[in-house]
Amino acid sequence: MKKDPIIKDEMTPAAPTAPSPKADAPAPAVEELPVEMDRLNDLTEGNADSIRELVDLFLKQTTQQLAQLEAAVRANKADDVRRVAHSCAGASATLGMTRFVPLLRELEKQGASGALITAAQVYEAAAREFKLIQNFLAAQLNSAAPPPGAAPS
Amino acid sequence: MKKILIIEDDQIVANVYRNKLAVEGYQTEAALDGESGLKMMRTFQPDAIVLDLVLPKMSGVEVIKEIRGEADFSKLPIIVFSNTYLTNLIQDAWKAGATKCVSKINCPPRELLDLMRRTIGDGEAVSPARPTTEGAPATQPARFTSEADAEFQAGLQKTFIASLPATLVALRAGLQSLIKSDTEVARLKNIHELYRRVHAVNGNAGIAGLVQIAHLAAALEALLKELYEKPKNINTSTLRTVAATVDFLGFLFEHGTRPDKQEIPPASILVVDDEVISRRAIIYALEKAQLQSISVEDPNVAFKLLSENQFDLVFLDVDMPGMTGYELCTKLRNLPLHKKTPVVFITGLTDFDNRTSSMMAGGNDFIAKPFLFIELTVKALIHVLRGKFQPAK
Repeated sequence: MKKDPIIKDEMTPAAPTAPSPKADAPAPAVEELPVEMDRLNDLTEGNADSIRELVDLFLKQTTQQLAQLEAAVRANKADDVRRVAHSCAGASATLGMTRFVPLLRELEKQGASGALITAAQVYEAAAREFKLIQNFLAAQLNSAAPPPGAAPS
Repeated sequence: MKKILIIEDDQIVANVYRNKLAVEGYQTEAALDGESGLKMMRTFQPDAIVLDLVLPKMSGVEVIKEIRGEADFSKLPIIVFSNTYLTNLIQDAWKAGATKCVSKINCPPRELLDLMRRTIGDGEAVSPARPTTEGAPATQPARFTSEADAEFQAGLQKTFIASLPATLVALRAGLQSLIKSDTEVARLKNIHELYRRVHAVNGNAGIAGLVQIAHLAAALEALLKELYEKPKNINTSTLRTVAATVDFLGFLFEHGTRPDKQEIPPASILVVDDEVISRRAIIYALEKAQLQSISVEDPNVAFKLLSENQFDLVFLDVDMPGMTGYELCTKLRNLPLHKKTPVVFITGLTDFDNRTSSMMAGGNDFIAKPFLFIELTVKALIHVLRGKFQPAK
């Protein structure tokens, strides 16, 4: 596979990034964001359309998985909890959902042990965190959207 | 006479390019960092700039922004050298106003010359003379014949190959310092030093036309850059990958300089993961090294594919419905085609028991989710390149 050394000179639309603080603003307390956008940007090479597509896929898949998790926790089906939480944690970790993953890992752990002791509460916390992720991603994608009337990329 | 300014921190690389361009009738100057490059640009008034993106003091992207901010140079052609594994850096270079981005991995001097001719036209006609590979610009420029060009390139390669034993000693010393680092500050300093050394290997192997060495060095450079910029990713897995890469570079220094080892060989890779986003991440990481793959979600489908096809490398998720990755690995080891095919497990399960299961099932390597994309790229490159040195199955 011999390759031309010239790297394709295509520009991609600007990637969404977390807003940077103003230089004169007081330093905020360090708070972990729900989504590490660097991973999403890296995986899509900063292409806004690819990010949007991947985010849509993640949100759809995770919505279904959370519904399955809720049903499994209610029915006390430990192995189902383990299996779904494991899959959901893998995708979430891949996309940099840093605060969501530990909750899913905890559900996976309880599922593997067969004792869903605090699984209902952990599930509730995971569902709340997922809402925050949805809001965060919506804000990020809106900030990257082209202005009305702009030519499509 | 057309004038070219080269801004490149590796003096050997800069001089080789200067030499090549000078003998073709271009007037050249070189600067070893961005700040002095900008100063030189204002006095030298070049027709084009060749710029390395990785520079001390001031980054290549910052240099481009400065150049584009000056009215006299806003349209000056800027040819950027970069590492194809640093995709975000290349994006930044385009946005800042680079004219062309060129991969250091496969840009011997002849390629740069051709690109320069297409960009600003020929240098002035000059009398024939042979160029040197000693590093100093030729004082009496001369056009290359193809024979002289081949001789020039062979000289470059010979010089580079002769330097490899010393380079390996330096890389191993850098790795030892990194592994023994006892504070976070020391670890970061050692990562940066190793990164600079590997950056130099990438550039020098690229101009010498040693593609496999240049590729692996470029991927390792990108991994080290990621670790330096995001130290939270420094862990046992990533450090183990860095060490394995330095080790395999040593192997390539000895065996990867043959003429038949100057391309990334086509490889057939199978990815088995029941989760779509993880599959996508693995495929993306492989594509960084131009490695094509087939991905499947069902381990039973994967086994059928493995039964009927040769693969050079297999990535397996561990926890899959119907058949675990360990079970699939055990089964594939019974297939005549895959007794020795490298298998890498990818999973969130990182405890010792699972590592043991991985080895007992016949796996060769292990990477934990969430993996760094470039770490997976580096692992894949090592396995694919190493596999091509094995006797035919």
